[in-house]
Amino acid sequence: MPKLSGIFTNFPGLDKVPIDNIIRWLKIKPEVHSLQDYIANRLLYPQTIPLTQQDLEIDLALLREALILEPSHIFIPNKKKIVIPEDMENRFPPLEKLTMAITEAINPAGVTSIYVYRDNISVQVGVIARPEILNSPNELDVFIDNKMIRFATGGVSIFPLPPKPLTIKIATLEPFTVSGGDVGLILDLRGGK
Amino acid sequence: MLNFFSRLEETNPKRIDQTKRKMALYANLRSRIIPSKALHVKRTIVGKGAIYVTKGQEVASHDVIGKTYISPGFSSISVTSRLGINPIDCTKYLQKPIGSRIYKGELLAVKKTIFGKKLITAPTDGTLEQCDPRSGRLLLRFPQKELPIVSGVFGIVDDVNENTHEVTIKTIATEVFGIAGSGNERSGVLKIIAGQSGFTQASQINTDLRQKIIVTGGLIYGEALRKAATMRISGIISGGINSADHLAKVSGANREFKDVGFSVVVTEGFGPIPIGDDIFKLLQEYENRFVFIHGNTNQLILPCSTSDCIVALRKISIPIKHLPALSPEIDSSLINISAYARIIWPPFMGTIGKIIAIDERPTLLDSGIMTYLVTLETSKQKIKVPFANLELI
Repeated sequence: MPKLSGIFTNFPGLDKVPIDNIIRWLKIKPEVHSLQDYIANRLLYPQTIPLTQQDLEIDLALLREALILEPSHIFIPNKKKIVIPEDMENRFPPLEKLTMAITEAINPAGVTSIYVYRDNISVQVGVIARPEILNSPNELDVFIDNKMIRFATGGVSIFPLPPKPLTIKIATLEPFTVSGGDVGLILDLRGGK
Repeated sequence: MLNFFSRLEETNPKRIDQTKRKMALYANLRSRIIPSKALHVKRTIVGKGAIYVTKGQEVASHDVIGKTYISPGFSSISVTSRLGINPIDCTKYLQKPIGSRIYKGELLAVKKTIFGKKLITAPTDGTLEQCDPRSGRLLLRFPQKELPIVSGVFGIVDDVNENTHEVTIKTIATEVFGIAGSGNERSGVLKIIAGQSGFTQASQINTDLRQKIIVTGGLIYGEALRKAATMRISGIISGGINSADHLAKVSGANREFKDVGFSVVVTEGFGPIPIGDDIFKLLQEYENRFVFIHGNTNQLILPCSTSDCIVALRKISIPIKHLPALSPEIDSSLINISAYARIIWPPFMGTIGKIIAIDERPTLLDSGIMTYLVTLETSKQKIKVPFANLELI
């Protein structure tokens, strides 16, 4: 039987990513040499899985850098679609955190649909909306089914959606309709184009 | 992209409903030790020398197969301070030109003064190598010594190459494969300087270990690695190595085939990790015996220790390969009760044990991943490990 591999096998340039690029994503900063050893072992044994939350955080940081290197692995820009493979969903639970990490790495502009590939079927789980934010306001008004909700800018937030379709209007984006999904609406209000 | 969960029926944590596991679990199978294999080893006569054996000749491990010449080094004499002259005038007072042979007690340099003559005599036999005009120091190279080259193995000479000064000997040996390494093929007497999980510091590296292949335990520090180069150690076997130290010794597009003066084989992974029981036990059996190390292919060769293997070799013919042997392919295999496995992720990374149970229902790990656990029995304890964090051996 062929050798088992893992998610990171698909990103061959990962061993050359500067260590500071990984550290920037981590709230608890590990010792540099320990992190270097961790990453080297992760690439040596790509099929292994993390036991602890802290290890999962490091793996998510590594995944962000992997997607910065090769976003085309899951991002189809001309279709405004992100398709998360089933093994990626299982490897990086929960799905909300995984989609946040993907958003931070890929930075898709405008409205991008997120799908998960499960049992050979693509299932939509949410939408990433990233408007162009001009003049650096502290807050942004978002209209959900004509009801205004004010969000603080500068970050990424998840807004669960009910099963019924909703029309969303944000800043300069064209209004769009979404409903339900395991994740919901990801609002990327970090600013910039 | 290979989906390593593809062999499980239920993988989504939300959809695994605690029903009993329906499908088999797989793990990678890595050969770490291949016993009693017929292979070739090369003995190289470095520099000027002679080869005494011929193709087809049977050799014992202590048989001399050739000779080479080595220079033990230099002696340095301060001509300026002994004669009271300027450094730039160093060669002016020598009695023989640079490059000449000189013998112990022979007159080396003379300066006449109004008080008489100042003399320097040769403290030892040697050759006048150089007189430095900046320091005024005379370098005296010690005479070359003849060094016999022994076979190191019981075997049959399969090839003698007078151009490359190499003797290829067919022998039977145990091959050990690590997971990382660097450096060309080298040989030497095996010496264990630290315990299975010990740490080796620079202070433990000394001239007694020159030309030896040393076993340094769970980790060798970077400073010790650098000292190993200056102490002319042939090779290092360690359970773990800091990845930064490893990267400093490999380079190139494929991070392969660099040599910094000694060879390293890492048996387990990066960071401090004890050498696995299987390999350490073998190394203990081979301590103080002549072995071979090939860092670039992560390989150790532990030759047979008796002449019995020559009897078997007479009936074996193997082609001479000009490229170094690669590590065996890694395949995946079914995880079965009673199989032996090695833990390849912390905690207990490097630990080897026997599989005594495979869970029927998945467990939710602290990381949020739902997976099946396997129980491994070691000599000291029983450990439950996610099946993905095991390699079969």
